[in-house]
Amino acid sequence: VSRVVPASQFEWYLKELPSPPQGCFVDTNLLFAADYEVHRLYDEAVELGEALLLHRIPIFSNATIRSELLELKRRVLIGEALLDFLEMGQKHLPVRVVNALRSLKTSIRESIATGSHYLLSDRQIKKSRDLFESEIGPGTWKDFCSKFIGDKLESEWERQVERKGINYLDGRPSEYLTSPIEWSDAIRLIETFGIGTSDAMILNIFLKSVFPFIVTAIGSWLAPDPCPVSQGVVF
Amino acid sequence: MKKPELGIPGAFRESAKRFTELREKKPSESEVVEIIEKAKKRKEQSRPKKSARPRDLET
Repeated sequence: VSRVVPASQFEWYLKELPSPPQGCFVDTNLLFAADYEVHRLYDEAVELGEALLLHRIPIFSNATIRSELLELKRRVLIGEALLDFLEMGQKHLPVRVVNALRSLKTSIRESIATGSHYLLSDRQIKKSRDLFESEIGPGTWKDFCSKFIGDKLESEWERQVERKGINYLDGRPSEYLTSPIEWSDAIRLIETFGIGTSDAMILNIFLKSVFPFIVTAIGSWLAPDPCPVSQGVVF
Repeated sequence: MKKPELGIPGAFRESAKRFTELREKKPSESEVVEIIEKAKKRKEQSRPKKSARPRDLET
């Protein structure tokens, strides 16, 4: 039977566990929210993360979480870079580019005004790239990325591992896994619960782990019935 | 099997601060103008040159 534990009751939940956990899974949304001060779940995420470290509970992750985290950071960095590009270059930019970036700025302002953070979609990023190339000139996008993004993502994951002590489970036999990780099981989760591929891959490895809980903010996993999660879910 | 690594308390707050600092790093205005002007130049150069008028090709 699954159990959803709100972040505020995490300490109580830990006391109720029959034995100290060997570790836990931490989903992308906690790692991301804890790194992004304007995220609506920032405070909860930092407090949960710090509680895990204080209780000396090892944090586990997999390739999907790593790639999702880098993707979210890419979307934040490019979104903010586009606004800086507008601010610094608007006197020199073609009208169509200025208008497109101003419209983006309005969306971001509206989003912030309603109390949520703004994440550029991959579609918006590709649209901006195409606009830069056709309206400003060939090679603009590459130069823009090189100046604004540079190597900002390069050591991102290593830092997470080094400071937060994130451990990596890749699906190979391990004392933390109760059975082999099979693609077919992840696909079954997608078919049964209609969840996304990335969510299914994270959930599949968690369900086969010895860990009693996963820290996540994904509401679709928390549906009481049917619920794919048989262990605890915290957030 | 390797013992699982443990993080350093305070690492979550430190990580958020680091990401904010990273986001605040920006190129200068002159570098941005340079990107734009160079691209405009490339666009100009890549425009097809005026082809010869048909009558010039007549022999």
